[in-house]
Amino acid sequence: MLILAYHVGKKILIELIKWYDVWVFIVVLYGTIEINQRFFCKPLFDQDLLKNFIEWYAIFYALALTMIVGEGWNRLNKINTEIDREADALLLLLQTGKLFPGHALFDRLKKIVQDYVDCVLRLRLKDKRSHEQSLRHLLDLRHCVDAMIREVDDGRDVNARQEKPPEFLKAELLRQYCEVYDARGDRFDLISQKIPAHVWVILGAFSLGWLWGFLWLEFHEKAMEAYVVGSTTLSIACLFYVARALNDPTKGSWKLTFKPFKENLSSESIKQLILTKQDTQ
Amino acid sequence: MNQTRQPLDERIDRIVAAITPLIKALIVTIAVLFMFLKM
Repeated sequence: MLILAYHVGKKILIELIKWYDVWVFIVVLYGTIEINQRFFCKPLFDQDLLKNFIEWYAIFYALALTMIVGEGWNRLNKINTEIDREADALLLLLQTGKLFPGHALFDRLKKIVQDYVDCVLRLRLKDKRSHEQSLRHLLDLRHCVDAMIREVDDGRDVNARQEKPPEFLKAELLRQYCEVYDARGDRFDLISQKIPAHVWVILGAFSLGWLWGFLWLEFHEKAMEAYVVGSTTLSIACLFYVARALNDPTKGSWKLTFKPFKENLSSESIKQLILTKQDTQ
Repeated sequence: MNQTRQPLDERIDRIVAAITPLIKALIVTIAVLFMFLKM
């Protein structure tokens, strides 16, 4: 436990310097307070008006922030749905392929699906080469499905001495392949759709605008000021950084895990499919 | 050696990722409080 705490602390200290959003905000805040002290004085006669202004500004600000957090959650849920859809389609593709007569093409299908799943699980989501590699596996899958549908492999009839697969199975196989292709494309599209950088700058400016009101607010006790300003800033900052973490699902707390791929399409599950096929024949 | 290191590294990454937003928020809050109370 102590070793774990030591390593976590060490890693956070190393990463501290990369937290530009925090340091930029603190520098801008310091500058704002300096400007306030040098050029303005507290408006003593408009305190009631200031309190009302802070109140309605808070409603507007909270709405803007929760909309951004909600958008982040929504996008993360959509990506997870696409991952689930892709994993289910791959599983159904294998199940459909299992019903085709003949071993050779199903074994090839199983091998390609396994390679594709391994590639997705290893995938570095921002690495372009990994995308190309997974696309290559998908094209192999397309060729295999094509061979199964046309019942030919490298120009020879694979089912010459066996029964022909029914047409509905061919249609189902193609449909599942299209589902995999579609879900994969949607997954990449959703991952690349991020909240634009200038939205964060605008949100930061809104935060400063709100905090400015607290600078002018007249407190009689320091403890009260610490409580009001501290709790408000902590809740805003927590929501802000949660929204930031949700914006990039390739890293951070809400990193994509590809759980359906691990659970449904691990090597063991695919091997089990093969065993079932041999047992039934 | 690698087999024992990997889960620890993963755990560290997961914990760091989970507490990062909270630590960032705490740093900002402490900075804000410090500047306000200094005034």
